[in-house]
This record gives sequence, C-alpha cells and structure tokens, in this order.
Amino acid sequence: MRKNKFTALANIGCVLISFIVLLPFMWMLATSLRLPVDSFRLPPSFFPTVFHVDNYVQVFRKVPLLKFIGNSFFVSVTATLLQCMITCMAAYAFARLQFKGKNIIFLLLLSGLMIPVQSTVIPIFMLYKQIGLMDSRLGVILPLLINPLGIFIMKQFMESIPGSYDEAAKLDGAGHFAILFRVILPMTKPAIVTVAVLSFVSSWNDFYRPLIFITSSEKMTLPLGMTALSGLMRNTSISIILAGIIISAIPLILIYSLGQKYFVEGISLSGLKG
Amino acid sequence: MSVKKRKNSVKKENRIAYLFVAPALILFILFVGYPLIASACLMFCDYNLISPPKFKGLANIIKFFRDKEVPLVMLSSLKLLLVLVPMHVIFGLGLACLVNRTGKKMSAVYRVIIYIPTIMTTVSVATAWSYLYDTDFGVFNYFLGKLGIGKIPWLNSSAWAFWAIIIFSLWKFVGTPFLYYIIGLQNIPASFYEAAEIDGAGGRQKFFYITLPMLTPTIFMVVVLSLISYIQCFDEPYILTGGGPGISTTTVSLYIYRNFQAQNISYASILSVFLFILIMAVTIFQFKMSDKWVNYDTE
Amino acid sequence: MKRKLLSILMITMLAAGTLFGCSDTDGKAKSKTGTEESKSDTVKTETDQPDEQQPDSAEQVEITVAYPSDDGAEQKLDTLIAEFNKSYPNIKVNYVIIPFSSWPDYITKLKTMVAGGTGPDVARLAVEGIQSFVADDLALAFDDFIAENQELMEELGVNDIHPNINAPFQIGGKTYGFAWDWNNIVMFMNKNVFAEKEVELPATSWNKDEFLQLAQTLTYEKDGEKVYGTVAPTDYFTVTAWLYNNNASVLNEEMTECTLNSPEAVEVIQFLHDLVYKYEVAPAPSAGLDTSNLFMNGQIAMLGNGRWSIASLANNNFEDYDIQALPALSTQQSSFGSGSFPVLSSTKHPYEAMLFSSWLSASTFSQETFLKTDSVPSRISVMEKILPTMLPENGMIWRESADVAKSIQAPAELTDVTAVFDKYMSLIFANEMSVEDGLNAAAEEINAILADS
Repeated sequence: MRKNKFTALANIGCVLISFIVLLPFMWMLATSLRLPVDSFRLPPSFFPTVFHVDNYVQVFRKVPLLKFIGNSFFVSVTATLLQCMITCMAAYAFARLQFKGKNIIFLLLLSGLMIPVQSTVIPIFMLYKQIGLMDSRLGVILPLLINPLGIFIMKQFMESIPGSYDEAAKLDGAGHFAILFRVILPMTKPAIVTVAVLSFVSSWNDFYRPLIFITSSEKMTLPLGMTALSGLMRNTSISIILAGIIISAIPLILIYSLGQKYFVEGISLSGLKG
Repeated sequence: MSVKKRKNSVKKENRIAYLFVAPALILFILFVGYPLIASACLMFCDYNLISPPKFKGLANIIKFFRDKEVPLVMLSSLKLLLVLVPMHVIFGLGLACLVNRTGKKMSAVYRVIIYIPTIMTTVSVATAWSYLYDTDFGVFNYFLGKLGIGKIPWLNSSAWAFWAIIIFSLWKFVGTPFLYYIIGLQNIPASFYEAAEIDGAGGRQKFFYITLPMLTPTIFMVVVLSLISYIQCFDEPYILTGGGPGISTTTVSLYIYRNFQAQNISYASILSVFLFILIMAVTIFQFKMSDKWVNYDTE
Repeated sequence: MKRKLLSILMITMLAAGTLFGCSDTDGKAKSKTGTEESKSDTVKTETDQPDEQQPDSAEQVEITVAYPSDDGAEQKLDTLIAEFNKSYPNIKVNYVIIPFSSWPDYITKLKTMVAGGTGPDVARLAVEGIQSFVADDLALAFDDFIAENQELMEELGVNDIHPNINAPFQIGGKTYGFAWDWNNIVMFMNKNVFAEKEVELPATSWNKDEFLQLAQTLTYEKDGEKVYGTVAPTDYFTVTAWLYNNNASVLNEEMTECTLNSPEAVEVIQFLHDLVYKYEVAPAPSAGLDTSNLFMNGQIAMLGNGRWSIASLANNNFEDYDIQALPALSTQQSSFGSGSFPVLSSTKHPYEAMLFSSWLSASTFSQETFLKTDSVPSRISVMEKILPTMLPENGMIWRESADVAKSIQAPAELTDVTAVFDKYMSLIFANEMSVEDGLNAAAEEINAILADS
C-alpha cells in the first residue's frame, strides 16, 4: 500500500520536474515559430500559436548553416570512429595484456582527464601554425581522439569478460587483433555504445578549441556557427536564432535517443559508479 | 615451456601491447603532454601570436602576482565551485532517488527527459537562456512581475548574474550526476533493503544506513568529476554574461581566453598552468581524503 | 625502474618544449608572413615577382579577400567579384567569411589568421582596426600604387570619395586604402509610435530637454505591453557620438590620454544612465536585446543607430520611420566611422590586391549595388544619387554630416581600450559603481594601456 502511495507521489514530482526541464525548450520552439518582429512580444508563448516556418528557411540564408552542420558531422563522426578504435585498442592492452610500464602509462593517460583544455590550446595553436593545420577540421578532430574516461570504461568492462573466451579464440589460432575485434568487442556492446555516444556528443559540443583554431566561416562547426548567428544580432531576430538552435539540436537528440538505452548498462557494468 | 620460449612470448606480448597503446600514447604526448610543458615554457616569454616568442624571464610571472584582477577572477571561480558542486551532488541524488521510486517504466522516461539538457550544446541553450534572462523583455521577469516580485536584473548585476549562471548550470548539467546516481542506486542489492525491513527499519533509516553509505563511491566520483569540469567553466559565462558586469562572473578559463584575445599569450599560459596545478592538487587531495569516507565494500 | 623511466620522459619533454617554445628566433615564422620583406611601407618586390607594379597580364593571379559575416554577404560578394572579373578576368578572387560579432573580435580573428599563416591578401577593415594593423606592420601603403596609376584612380572614382571620410585611412602621411563606406549614429524614429501619441517628429536643432520630454511622452503601456521612449547605448561607437555632442570624448585629440572622466563626459554618461534608472524611459541595457525588431514592433520609439540598420528594416518591409541627428547637448558634432579594404603585408600579389581593393572601395558598381541598403557610401556623387531616392526621407542629413563629422577614436590599442570601456560601462549600468567612480577607474586603466605602448 505504502509503496503505491510513494510511487504515485514520486511520479507527480517527476512529472513536475520534467515539465520544468522541458519548459525552456518549449519556449524556444514556440518563439522560433513567431514572426521576427513579434519575437520579444510579451506574454511569451510556450505552445506555438503562430507557425511562421519561414524562420527556419531564413536561418539557412543568414549563415551557411548547412555547412556548419556538415562540418560538425564530419568532425564528430570521424572523431568518434577513430577515437573508439584507439580507445578500444588501448583498453584491450590494459585489460588483457601484460607489459612493462603498464600501470604508469595507464595512470598517465587517465591523468588527461585533469588537464584543462585551456592549458593545452595555445601550444597546439603554435604547432598547427607550423605544420599548416590552422583553420582545418582535422586540427579540431585530433585533440578529440583522446578519451581517458572512455579508456577507463572500456578497460573495466573488458575485465569483466571471462578470459575463457580469449583462450578459446587462441586455441583457434587467433592473434590479439582478432581476439579484440572478433571476440571481445562484440561483447562490449553497451560500453562501446556509451563511449561512442558520449564521444559523439562531446565532439559535437566542443566549443573552445574550434573557437581558437577556426577563423573562417567555411570550416566552422555548429556551436561556433551559432555564436556567429547570434552575433548577427543587429540584422536578425531571436526567432531566427532560436530556429537555428532547434535545428542544431536535432542530430544530437537523434543520436542520443538511439544510444541512451545502453547508458545504464554500459556505465554500470564497467564499474564506473565506484 | 622453456625459459627462452617464455621470454620470447613475453617480449612478443610487450611489443603487441605497445602497438595497441601507441596511438593513444602518441596522441597524448602530442596533444596533452607536450602542450602542457610548452605552456610552462611560454610563461617565461612574451608572445603576441604574430612575431616569434621572446624570452623575458620572470617578468610576466611577477606581473601576474601583482595583477589585481587575478585574485578577483579566482574568487569568482571559487564561489561558483563552492555552490555548484554541492548543488549538483545533492540535487542529482535527490532526483535520482525520486525517479527511482517511480517504477521501471516511468523511470526510463524521466531519465531520458532529465538528461536531455545535458547533451545539448551549451552555447546554443545558453544563448536562448540569455534572452529568457533579459531584464525588461525576458520571460523570467515577466512571470516574476505577474507574481508581484518585480524585475530582477539577472544579467545586469554582479550578484544576480552569479545566480543566473548557477540556475542555468543546474538545469543543464544535473543530468550527469543524476545518471551516475541512478546507476549507483540500481546496484544496491535489494536484499539489503529487505533485510533492513525485516529488522524494522523505516524509510529514513534505510536511506541513511544503506543507501547513502553504498553510494559513497558514486558521490566521490561525482564530486571529483564535477570539480574538474567546473573549474574549467567557460561556455556558460562566455555566452550568458560575457564575464560581466565588470569581471564579476569571469572564471579563470574565460580570463584565459580574454588574454588570448588581447594577445597576452604569456599571461594566458601562466593562468592555464595554474589551472592545471589547481586541478591536480584538488583531485589528489580528494583521493587522499576518500579513504576517510568512501566505503567500497559491497558486503 | 619506474622512476627512471618517468624522469627520462620528463627531461626529454622539457628539453623539446623549451627548444620549441622560447628560442624560435629563426626566420621560419617570418618568411611565412613576409613581414620581414616589407620594412619600408612601399610595395616591395617579392622575390618571385620581378615586376613590381605591372601585372603579368597573361598570367592568372589568385587573391583572397576576407569579409565579416553578414546577411547575404556571400551573394553580394559573388556579384561584385563577377563584375570585377568583367574588367579584370585574369585575377581570380576567393573570399573567406570571418564570423563577426564585434570589431575587436573580428580584428583578433583576422590577426589569428595572419599569425596562423592563412591570412588573406585583402581584408575588410574599419577605422576600428586600421591603426592596430599599421602599428603591427600588417598593412601595405598604397602610395606608390596610386602614383603610378593616376588614370586608373580617376576612372575608378577614387577622387570622388569624400576626403573627410577617407582621412582615417591616411596614417603617418601614407594611404592604406580607400574608404568604401561609413556610418554615424542618428536617431531613428518609429512614426507609428509618434502618431499614436500625437507628437511631431523633432527638428534638427532639438536639444537634450526636448529629447527627454519626447522620450517621456513616448514611454507608456499599451494593452499590457510596455513601450519605451528610447534605448540607452553602452557601446563605444554610439556612446562616442553622444560624447561628441557635449564636447567630450574618450581620448584627447592626440589619443595619448584618456578624457573619459572629464566633467563633460561624466555629464553625458550620467544622462544616459538616468534614461534607464531615473527617468525610466529606456530598458536596462543588454547585449541580447533585439533592438531592431523591438523598434519595428513599436516597443521602442527612438533608437540611435547607423545606416547599416536600414537593411533589416527593408527586409521586413518596415517603412514608417525617419531619422534625425542626435539631440544637441552643449553642441552638435556628428561622429563617424568608415571602412575600407586594406591590403595585408603578407600578400604575394600586392598590385592585384591593391587593384581589387581600390575597385571594391571606389567603383560605382560596388558602391551602388552593395551600399544601397547598408552603410553610407563614401563617394560624394553616389551619396547624392542614392540618399534622396531611398528611405528614410531625411536621408540627406548623412550627406551633409559628411562635411563636418569627426572620426571616432580608434588607436592601435582599441581592442584593449574597448575592453576596459565595456567593463566599466557594464558596472555603471549595473549600479555597482557610480558614474564618476566608474569613469575615473576606466580612465586610470586606459591611461595605463596607452602609456604601456
């Protein structure tokens, strides 16, 4: 009996909280559909009453939004794929292999978590200047390939897979590469999906490095592009800017909803919770 | 196996291991290790991005210690930390407990919703929130006016700008600790609670004697990760307040960027090295302290 | 064992880092930007281009122009380049759009590009940046080019450019480009709001009291929605315009000292502050305020703005507005800022770059197509042709003010000065510092900046 009462109360509380969480998004959507002249009109709308879809068309004309989205996709997908490979390889080495300096290297890579982006950006800038990677998407991708948290998650998860699978594969004559890619990886699906999704999201949202490295509109990623859009404040309106923001959120929501069901499993079985 | 064969296979395993670790390690050295050291070197130079750096010795470091703005900036960052981290720890926990009680199906839905702001691009939603916070035309003040409270200068006053950032950050980032807590909660065996109930424990006792102690590893991780993440807080102040009014909401990261913009690269380097040392010190300190309160047993 | 490995690693990295970071005095960086070669400001021979001033007419030359992001900028640039190529088919022009949120930001980005080795040949730059570029040896002087191409100059209409507007680009006796466009701040008025309150549009000679009275009359509530009489500016450009009207300025004439805390300046800033907090005729200043749309919507009656804003008014088919000079305080001295297309010293094709720059700045096509609904054109004949035919009705005051307007003050250290200015303006308008204290503190910091360089 008590349980049901609690459950009901908890549900009411959660509905309220969900509402509060979603309110800003509702406002963003509703206002993005308003006529630009009306964008600051009060009272504000949370449910679209006007459907001035032209804002969504306009935003593509004001800034090369398509290019921004394309660049973000290119950067995020490339970074995620490459990063996953690099992370899995390193995690496998830590989980399954013995070698000299294993612990130091592991700690070293993990310490990367503690190093703020600001401490590394300027020398990387100077490096890029020398090797000609300024204002390039590759320049943005490279630093994103380091994922200490990912290595940790994958290592833990791999360690929870019994070694008997490895043994069986070795008996069949498989080398380490084969063991990693054909045996271990398929079993790490929750963890690797989590790592991939989190990596995609953080590559997509990466702001500080593109801010420093990218100077031309052509190469900008979406977050940077959004600041360029809102910088056009003098000649545009917040309805249009909000339309751009909504558009830029869609890919993220899609990727997230596809992968989120693995989050709990992926993080929990990797023992990250403690 | 003979000794030689073993040695060879060890060597082979070493080689393969290094091969596997090489990409991550090389990237680390190139993009983390070397830049950190180079930043430390840049501290002693004058560099304006255009002409090559010139060695200047301790001149810039002395300037750094004399600068009146630096302590203010650090104070701003500290204030933000001291409020945000506990709030995230506590709110995340509260939310997780609440959602956990709503039953399996619904809790999955709430989980997704609460995490949505976290995956959004910070600068985009911060831009939207800066309109919400507008003093005269913003949505928040509109409702505050209706409630009879009157207009709050959210972004136009040092005191309120601070809270504006806090409220926004909470909304945006509570998803992360929340997620970790949910997982932590799910990993507490139900048998513990059943055993406690048999002993006649009530809700409160169950929470304080089972839930909380079992969650200490999670809480520890949340504190460590949030501290690291919030010391570097950049996107929110950059978009919401631009560091203002004045420099009241300028965090260390934002200050580094401003110096970069002003072509004061050496200053930016000193600050960034300082930031790194700070993070390391705080994290190591926490790990040392963790023995005192984090409970790793699962029995 | 572990310790040894670690320490060897550390030492190696330290050594490498030190070698790379601090002792980079060889010519590597210099040769990339070519600054070493243009010590004297005349067009120097590039080692691979024996002919200084004459283009290699058969050869295709490629140059890049940097332009700040703006509504429809790409289309306009495409049109312009196509037209340019009709007369000069051998010069291929690429453009790179740099995201623009403010001049200091744009200038930093441009300099970052040059520092990173990806600098353009020609860059749009306003008076806000030219001094800094010249001081850093980043801009090329046009004097030789002009001397050797007198006829071309005449043909392009360079001599038709208003000399006053062109002046900011003549530094130290040398010319660094031709003014293409310019803006000053005038008061835009929403005729609908005036009509609603049955008030007449003001005359040119209106003064501070009349302005305040109008603002108060035009601040009211209608159907639960607030209408504000005006907006209190806090940005450098607009505030300078108000300062000039009171015989005040941010810096002294020679730009060596800060005069922001003079009694006249304090008076102006106090007045602007009072608009918000004492008379409550203006909303609290905010960077995200959509003043353009609020103006069109009738939520703001009078808005200080430049001619660039008529683009957005035209886009929204808003025609019920007119302009007037800013109200007179102790005087009425209009300000202005002009823009041009300086050639960067890192260019490999100075002749072609200067040619393009001159064409872009001065040609009739460029001024008449691009600047129809944008900043004021710099050429006298173009101004006199366009302004009477377009909204606002009172547009010719722009032509008249060109004769007497005073340039805004944009020293080489403008980025730093603006940063201090913005900082203290935000504190003043947040009521955390009195106007006088804020301006005194600002003056102190700005003087330190000016003294440092």
